[in-house]
Amino acid sequence: MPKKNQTDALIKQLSGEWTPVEPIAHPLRRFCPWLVFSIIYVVAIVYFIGLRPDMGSKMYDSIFIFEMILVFTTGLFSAVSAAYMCVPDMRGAKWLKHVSFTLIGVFFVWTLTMWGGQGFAMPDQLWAHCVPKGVMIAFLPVAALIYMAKGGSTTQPVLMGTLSIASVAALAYMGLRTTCMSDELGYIFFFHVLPFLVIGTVLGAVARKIFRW
Amino acid sequence: MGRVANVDWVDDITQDILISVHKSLHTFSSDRPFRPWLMSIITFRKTDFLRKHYSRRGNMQTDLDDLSFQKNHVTNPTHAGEFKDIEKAMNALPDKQRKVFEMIKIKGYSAQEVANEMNMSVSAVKVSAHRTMKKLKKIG
Repeated sequence: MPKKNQTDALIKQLSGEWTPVEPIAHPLRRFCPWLVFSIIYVVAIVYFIGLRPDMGSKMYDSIFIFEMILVFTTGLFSAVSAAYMCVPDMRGAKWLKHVSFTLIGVFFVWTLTMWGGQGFAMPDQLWAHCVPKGVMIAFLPVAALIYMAKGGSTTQPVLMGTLSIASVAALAYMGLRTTCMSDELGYIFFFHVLPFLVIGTVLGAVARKIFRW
Repeated sequence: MGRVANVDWVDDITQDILISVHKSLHTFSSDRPFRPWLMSIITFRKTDFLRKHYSRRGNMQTDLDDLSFQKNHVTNPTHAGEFKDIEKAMNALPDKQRKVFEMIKIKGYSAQEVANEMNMSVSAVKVSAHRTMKKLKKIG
């Protein structure tokens, strides 16, 4: 038998029982249903909890509007980055993670700037009332995002876990800011941001186990 | 793949990479170049392998069959002190206990095989090996 035919026979023998694989959809196509689901879910929870009474006047507060736009953009880019990270080479869109981390950095610089401007006041309020709300808002979107991420094969599990939490944290932050009356920076940091930093750190630490393939 | 410190690892890493490629075929898109996709998997699996190796302190261990290590560190009198301590501790063990330990921990026999050879129960073999290990650790 000619050598080429031998090689062909060997390949056929080794791959004889293989079946074609169904390629996963483009990351953006996989991500869109999650985004739509998460926004509807968060809006429903916010509707259930009730908008903050001064929401009407807040819509004319340029600082509040800037904060919301910044957080939404951060969440959006983080989620898109996490979706692209399901593919080993991120389909060449590695710049997305840099944009996401830059936006996260801008958010923390913004927080520090506000700290310099208005101080780090902590109101005397029942601490727990925003944490359960935040968990309620974040639980299903983060579960859906992890499920979606496990469908792929990431080569950056820690980054993907961190960005997944960042995206869900952004949604929850927006939900909390539109339902909670407190504008004190200390309260916002400790009860709207810090729980998600902790969850993100924990998920980052176990990401290699969760996203193992 | 680039360079790795030990040529023996190449086969293991290559096997991991080929299995990973097989498992993640569904993430490859035919409208994208193959090389960046493959290189991402190669880098990931190589890093993963090295992380596991160092977390198991593999860089602090040596194979008993490594003759150059034996020559430089076991039979070389200036480096041999710590190994002589182990030999001394091994010699101080009762014959049966030493034989069990050598068979199961050095020669690589299973507990069942040692039990059959020594006319002991499997659990007695495991206990004996465990106690010997604890005793030897005390000299370290």
